[in-house]
Amino acid sequence: MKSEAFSSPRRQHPMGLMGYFIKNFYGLIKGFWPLAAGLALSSEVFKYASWIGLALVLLIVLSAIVEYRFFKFHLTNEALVVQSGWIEKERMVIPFERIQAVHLHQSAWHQVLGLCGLKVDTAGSGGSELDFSALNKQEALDLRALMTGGKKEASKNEEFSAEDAELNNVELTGPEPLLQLSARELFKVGLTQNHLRNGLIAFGAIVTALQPLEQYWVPWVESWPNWIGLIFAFTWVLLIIPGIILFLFIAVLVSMVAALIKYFRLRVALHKAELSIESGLFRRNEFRIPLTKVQMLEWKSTWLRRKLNLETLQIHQARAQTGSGAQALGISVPGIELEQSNRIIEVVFPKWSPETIECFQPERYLRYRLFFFALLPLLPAGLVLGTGWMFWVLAPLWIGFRWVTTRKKYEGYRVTTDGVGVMIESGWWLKRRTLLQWHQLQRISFHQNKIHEPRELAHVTLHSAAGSRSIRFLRESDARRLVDFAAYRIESHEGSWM
Amino acid sequence: MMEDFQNQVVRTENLPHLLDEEFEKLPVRYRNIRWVTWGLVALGVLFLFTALVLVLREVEPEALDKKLLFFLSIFWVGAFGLWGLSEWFGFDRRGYLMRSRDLTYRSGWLFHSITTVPFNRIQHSEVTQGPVAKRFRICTLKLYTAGSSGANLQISGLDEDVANQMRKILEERNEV
Repeated sequence: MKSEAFSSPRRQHPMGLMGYFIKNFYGLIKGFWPLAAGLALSSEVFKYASWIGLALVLLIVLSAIVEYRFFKFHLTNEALVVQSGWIEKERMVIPFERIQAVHLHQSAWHQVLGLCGLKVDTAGSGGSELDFSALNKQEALDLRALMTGGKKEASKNEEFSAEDAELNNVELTGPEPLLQLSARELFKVGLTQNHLRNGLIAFGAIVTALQPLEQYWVPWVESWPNWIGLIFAFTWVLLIIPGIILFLFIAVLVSMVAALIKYFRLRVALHKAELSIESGLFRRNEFRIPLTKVQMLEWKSTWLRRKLNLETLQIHQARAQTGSGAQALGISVPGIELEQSNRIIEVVFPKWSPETIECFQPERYLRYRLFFFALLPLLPAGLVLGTGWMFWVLAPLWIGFRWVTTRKKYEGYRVTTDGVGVMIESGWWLKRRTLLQWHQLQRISFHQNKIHEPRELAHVTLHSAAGSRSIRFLRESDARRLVDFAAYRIESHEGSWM
Repeated sequence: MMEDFQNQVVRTENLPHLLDEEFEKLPVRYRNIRWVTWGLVALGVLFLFTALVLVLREVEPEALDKKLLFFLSIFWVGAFGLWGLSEWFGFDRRGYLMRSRDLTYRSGWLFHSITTVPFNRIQHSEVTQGPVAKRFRICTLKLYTAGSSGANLQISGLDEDVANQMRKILEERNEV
């Protein structure tokens, strides 16, 4: 398929209709399920449930048809042009240079029909700016190749063809991947998820599902013989431990299933100048990030994950932040080992060398500050428990425990630089490492307050296009040096930062 | 090719020290505008509190006890006292510094910060002016870098001519 195939406005694959239907249906359920559950309890509304359901399905079908029919796209020499909308028409022109990444995704129905969904991220969007519901897989590959660099080749040489795109795809599966999650590693990832959160979500889902069905299961429970109730009344204490075990079992099971669905056959590979990340069981996602557009690498790990030599890596690209000033969205790679991390660093930030470093650590003031704040819960605890013997037993235990944990937390703060990059480490139980390159920073801030000033302490914030990271409680002279050095590295850098 | 290669040692002690430089002060008339704003807001809030007390005295006299009056007074004195102090001591700390490759802004008294934006990272710049600021020939210069939806450096209270001159320099240096 040549680039001319996309030169005139065209629609997506007809099965895009199904994609829009599923998306709108899911959106409706997600947005209105609490209302629907409440209304279902009302017998008046329940009588008309089938009619209401039919009307909603018709509405969703109609909106899917409108969305599909009025969505057209084409490529010019320099931009992707999209026209959409029925009553309010919109024409969007996205220059190729603004495109950060193009992601492919395949739900189960996409896979069966040999189709692909495609998302386009741009430097000016908080999330995906454009979402193509369904394209022929080959078309999606061609489109991606043309939008992320292939276009330049195509304009030089009009013979850029589907074979090239196919070649790209073959190459993806060909070379040795940087990381491939084996079944054993996937098991480890599942095992080290946040089980408490997953268990509570599962518990909440079960309670929510049971509530509207009260009229069915309550009479059934009430029909149990009285002796069961009597036994339960006397023995419920004995059920606490089995209950906790059951909760933990369900929580771990939910975590394992969630990890399996999300990270099944996870594979990270280098594909020309792009990092390719594929994963997913039912919905297969493939993200491709141009290496030059990676702004920040960040590793997070819990104590348990570190014991298994695992970390979660987030790859951050340049992005606009949301109105609330928060975060740049990153792509997560769970269950990564140190050696694999180093291979990814070598590819993404090849000039970073951890051997030639200067190290900064926060001043001791931070250690006492952490300890002081860790003791504050004793005040409300004293008010609730009173200052009886229980308080005087628990308080020293708490003080000792927090003395040790805050010391470990303080020791976890560390900043190292080799002059090219900067690695910011923090935390103990939840550890975080962030790697940035000085020349990619956008601006630098120096902060100090009236308490820090006489102690000669200061914070430095490094602002990158993927978000900001602070280096806190430095010696003022070090903070000043870092500001000067950051300014020097940014301003002396020639060429593009992205 | 090989003889062109250089790899000079960079000593951070020898780099230009940004924070030791003398910063440019903002015009005194901007200080006056800020004081007038402070006074108007303080009077407005005092007026609101007085109205609230008078209405309460008519509608529900038993709700109007000394505690309420005490808390309202403490709030008013505390909030506007702190704001006034930060205006009094903080204004002289406000300042900007334009070097050949970057622009820096310093502000704050209790919590002060210094932010530097290198010219080669500026995506675009903007000069804004409200009706009151126009009357006093005061401007706000906004600089935008990548990775954020709002202005990343905002210097309020610049003299109109200075702001336009700075923007011209930025445009010439960077074509932003």
